[in-house]
Amino acid sequence: MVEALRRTFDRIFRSHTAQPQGVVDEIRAFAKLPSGWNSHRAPTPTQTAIKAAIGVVELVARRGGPMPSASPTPSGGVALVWELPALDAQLLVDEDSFDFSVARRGHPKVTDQGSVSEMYEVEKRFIDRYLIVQH
Amino acid sequence: MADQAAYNDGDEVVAGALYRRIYPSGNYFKPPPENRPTSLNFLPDTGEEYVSMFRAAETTPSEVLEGHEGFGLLEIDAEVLWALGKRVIYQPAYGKGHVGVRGFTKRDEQARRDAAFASRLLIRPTLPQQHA
Repeated sequence: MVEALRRTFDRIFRSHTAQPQGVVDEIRAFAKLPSGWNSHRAPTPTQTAIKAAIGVVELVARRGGPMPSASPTPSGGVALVWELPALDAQLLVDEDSFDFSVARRGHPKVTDQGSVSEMYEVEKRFIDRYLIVQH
Repeated sequence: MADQAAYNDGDEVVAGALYRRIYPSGNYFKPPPENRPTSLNFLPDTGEEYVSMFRAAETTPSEVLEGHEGFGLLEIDAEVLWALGKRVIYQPAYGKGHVGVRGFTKRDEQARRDAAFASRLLIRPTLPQQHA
């Protein structure tokens, strides 16, 4: 139990203190993934999605928000995930859209989600609302 | 939840446990205390209309993971997927016991999260060290 709590704390603490460069480097490295990296037919994340994801990370850093963890998605995009004290927040960055969703931590119910195509909409509907306020 | 029914290509698989590999990344698997796969496991590949899974009645965890070092394995019942409004179609041409789960999209996070919470973790993926 104590160990589980420690791991939870470490994960949340790391999410709030990581430097943007680490995440940016990680996202850049997705360009080197081979096609089929997920053991099925996922393509290499596109340069457009990689650039957009880095743009989000840098914007959040400038606003003083917490850093996400990043993963490639099977749709050729990048998933940015924030484990906040009370919320799971996720942003799927693809060639043509930013799809965000928010849920209470540890609960299946999604409390907000949306799809936008411009960075200012990401900032207004997702970053401002959940990352800056929550932080 | 063994399902011994015989299926033909294109049949609907309405019952039974299914396996899916878990990509070894922290965003695909939440370690303890949650200890569960995430909704990202239910995103289809670009250009695909389905998410690949394998019938537990026809294969084994070690067979599904063979050649995929570091990957984990989740199990979910076909009944759950149908209840979420998804279709499970038998596609043995893509592998032993392969099914295509149709209906998941990047914009239905609720269904994907429900599927993640309904999944059972069989084998944990080996996660890389995260940056400090």
